[in-house]
Amino acid sequence: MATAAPQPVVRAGASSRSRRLVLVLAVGWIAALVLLALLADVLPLPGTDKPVGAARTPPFSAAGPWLGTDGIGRDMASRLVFGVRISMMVSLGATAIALVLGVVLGLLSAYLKGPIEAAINIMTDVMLSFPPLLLLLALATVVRPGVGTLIVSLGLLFAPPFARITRASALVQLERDYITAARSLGAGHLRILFRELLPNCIQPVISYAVVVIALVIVIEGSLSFLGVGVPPPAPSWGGMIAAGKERLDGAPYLVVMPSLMIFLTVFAFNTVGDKLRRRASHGRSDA
Amino acid sequence: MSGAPPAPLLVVEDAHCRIPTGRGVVAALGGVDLTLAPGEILGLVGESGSGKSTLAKLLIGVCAPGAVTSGRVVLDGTDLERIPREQARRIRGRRMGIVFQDPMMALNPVVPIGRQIIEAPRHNCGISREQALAEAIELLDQVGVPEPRRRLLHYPHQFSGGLRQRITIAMALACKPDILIADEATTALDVTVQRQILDLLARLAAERSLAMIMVSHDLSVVAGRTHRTAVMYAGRIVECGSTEQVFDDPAHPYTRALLDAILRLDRPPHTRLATIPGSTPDLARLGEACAFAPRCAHAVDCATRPAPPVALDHSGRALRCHYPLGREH
Amino acid sequence: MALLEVTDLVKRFRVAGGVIEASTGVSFALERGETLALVGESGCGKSTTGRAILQLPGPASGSVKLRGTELVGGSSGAARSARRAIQMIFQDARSALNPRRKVRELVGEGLAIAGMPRREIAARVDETLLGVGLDPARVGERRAAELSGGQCQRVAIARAMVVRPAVLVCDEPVASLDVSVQAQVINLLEDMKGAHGLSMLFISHDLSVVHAISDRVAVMYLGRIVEIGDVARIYARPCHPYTRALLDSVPVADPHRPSRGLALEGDLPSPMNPPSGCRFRTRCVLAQPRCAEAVPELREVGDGHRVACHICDDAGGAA
Repeated sequence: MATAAPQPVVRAGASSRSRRLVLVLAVGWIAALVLLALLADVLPLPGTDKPVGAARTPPFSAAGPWLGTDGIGRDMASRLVFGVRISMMVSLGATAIALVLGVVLGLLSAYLKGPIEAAINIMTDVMLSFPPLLLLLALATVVRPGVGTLIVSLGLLFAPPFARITRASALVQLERDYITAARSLGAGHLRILFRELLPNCIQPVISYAVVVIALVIVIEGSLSFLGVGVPPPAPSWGGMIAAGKERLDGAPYLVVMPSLMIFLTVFAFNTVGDKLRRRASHGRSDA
Repeated sequence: MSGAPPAPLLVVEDAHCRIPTGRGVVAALGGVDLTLAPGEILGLVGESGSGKSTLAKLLIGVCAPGAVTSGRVVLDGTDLERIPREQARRIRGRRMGIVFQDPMMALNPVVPIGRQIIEAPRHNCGISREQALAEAIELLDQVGVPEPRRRLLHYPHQFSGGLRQRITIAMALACKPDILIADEATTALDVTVQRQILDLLARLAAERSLAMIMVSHDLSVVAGRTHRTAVMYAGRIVECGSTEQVFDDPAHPYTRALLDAILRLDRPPHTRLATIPGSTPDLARLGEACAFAPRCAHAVDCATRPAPPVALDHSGRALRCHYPLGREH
Repeated sequence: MALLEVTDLVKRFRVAGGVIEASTGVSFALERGETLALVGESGCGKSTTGRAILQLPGPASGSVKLRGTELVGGSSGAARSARRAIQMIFQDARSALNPRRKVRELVGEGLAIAGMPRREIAARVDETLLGVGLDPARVGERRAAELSGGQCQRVAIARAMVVRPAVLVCDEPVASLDVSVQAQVINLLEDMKGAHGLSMLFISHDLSVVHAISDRVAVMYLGRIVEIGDVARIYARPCHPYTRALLDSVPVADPHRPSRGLALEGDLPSPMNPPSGCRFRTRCVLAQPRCAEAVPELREVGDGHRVACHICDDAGGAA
């Protein structure tokens, strides 16, 4: 019929206000991180690989730098700040690669029936069944670890879930008559894929991308912790945790501070991703 | 006719239903009055947004969550809105049956139909499983499902659309209700199947002295098959009278406009069709005045006056109109 | 030569359990400026035939010729531009509009694909929107979700008409619309036909709509055309028993008229295993043994009126 039945909505009161506050803080944190990453060079921070004071000076003490020094006396604050750069580069880079690769493969597997669809599906299934950490460890033994290889390998690892999500969305959209109409108006395959299909499949992909960014930060941290991530002396939050874990009893701040950074960053990205997902499912009007 | 008319089976008084949505509060029903006598067949017609489905849902107690309802729904003397929910649910389950437009709304795709048909009578009427199954077979036979005993074990997807609708009719009748509500029950069916189902409903209503409410957007469906017809617009009943009266001599301009817009086979092809200018009002933004006034060819000052109340004319027809058709003003 | 000639169209689908032949040997011709309706119930193959004509995708076998150019399997430039001369409007108009695009972009799509310069597109789009009764200033920047069902269908009609097609295939265009809006859209289609010399293939299950808008009608049952001819003539004197049952089943908005004839018994046979010979024989009150033996061919019973029925034949016309 012409108008659908009215959809009722239950309003929440105080809990939505506090949710909004958390969202604002999350976005603010991410913005701050991005700024730090961009401006790290111009900030008045000492270098990350030269000792600036006595080793293991605790933070907020009168004797040393603001956030203390690490096991070799390097400035914690600057290591944390430059660590943002590594984390952002790896997570954004890997997610970007995964997104582009996954979306293209997903669209193609939904659009082209037959052998190509089957091949992409099999590839996706195989990659999704592999335990990711094992895959990365195996890769690390074959290829020399570095930021570049990390970005590429993590990107390849996360392409299959993006492909799956895109394919599911695309399969639904391909049933709809606006695709048929585009064909009858003479649209070629590329036009249909990228001008008709893609914009209507991208919502869930974007929500998932934000979650992936958070995941990659954690994974990079774990890899560096295991010693197969970003090679020293480049500062990486995971690497800092690995280096500091020996001194957990005497100088817990060596581990606590980078862990706190990871925690806050991942939480911020997950909150934003959650909000995007909710916005997508409310805004969807397939009336 | 001798004796006093029978006491009405169902009386709805001043029913309102307001549903909060993202766009505001939608006044799905804005004061509906209705009576239904035992064995009477009432046609409830209107376009989308008229409130006819909302009214059907109100009668069986399944309005949208969050909907605020008011008014009385009196079934055989008991006001269903005033008694505890559990009690109302039990009464409705036993005395009302409903058939929906989409049979898959009533049928669980992963449960064999036999189990689905006996569920309500076992729960509401407390009869034994054996007896319920025997009655189910009998019912399926009456609604025209071939080989009922064997097909009790089949799943809904193993039946055609028409057969599925017959099964939901059987389900609706399983507790031997007094009222059957058919909410666009034939809209999704092919025209030949529609006729079969409509004939079936008429036969069952006559055999079981059922009162029936046939909800439809298609006036033709209710024309030959109802005693009385109620026309709804924007959440209100604008005209309600005997079916012959409403079709032969409509008093409300909307009824007249609807009848004129119907495609008739007796007019030659390529006749220019009468339309109703404008579009249906936004139920979230209804004002105080008559909702049809902006589209009405006969409105004089109706936009400035409050909405007309229900008035009964000499023939017992209920009407909401300041300037009914064919009356001297 | 007719504008559109469809010959022996066969469309098959593979489903779990076998193959369904949704349309079998469907043939008809559409003349310039006429409206031919394909009428039938679910499973009769009318929608499938419509889409097969547009090659979306094309049929398993058979021929579709527009002004003599073969469309089936044709990949030449002539075939491609002929295909663009046939456009389609759909039942669910809202679903047929890309939810992310604005009305102006939607309507101008066909022209953009053809490479028309932007300024020209804008002018044509506005002109076409006015032609379908929409105000470009008011709806141009809106999206499908903000429009009513009737408006969506008008936008879809505008989108199809802006490329000046020769044939418009309408697949149940008014089925989901309210009665009052139905009338508006039907009037609009008739106006388009008159203003642009459009020919229409109107697919519908609604006999009343078909009667209002068509010149000729083809009745389909289980993938075959069983009767075809002038609409007024067929509705007044239906020959084929199925056509008769269909017409008898249409409810009439007259409380004094009782239902006509008998309701059609039984259910549609499975399309995977249709009855031999005449497919309608399992539900036909006039069925005889020879109906199972031979498939009845469409035979002429009056000017342009053809029926596929063994019994009808004998009676030499309307039985």
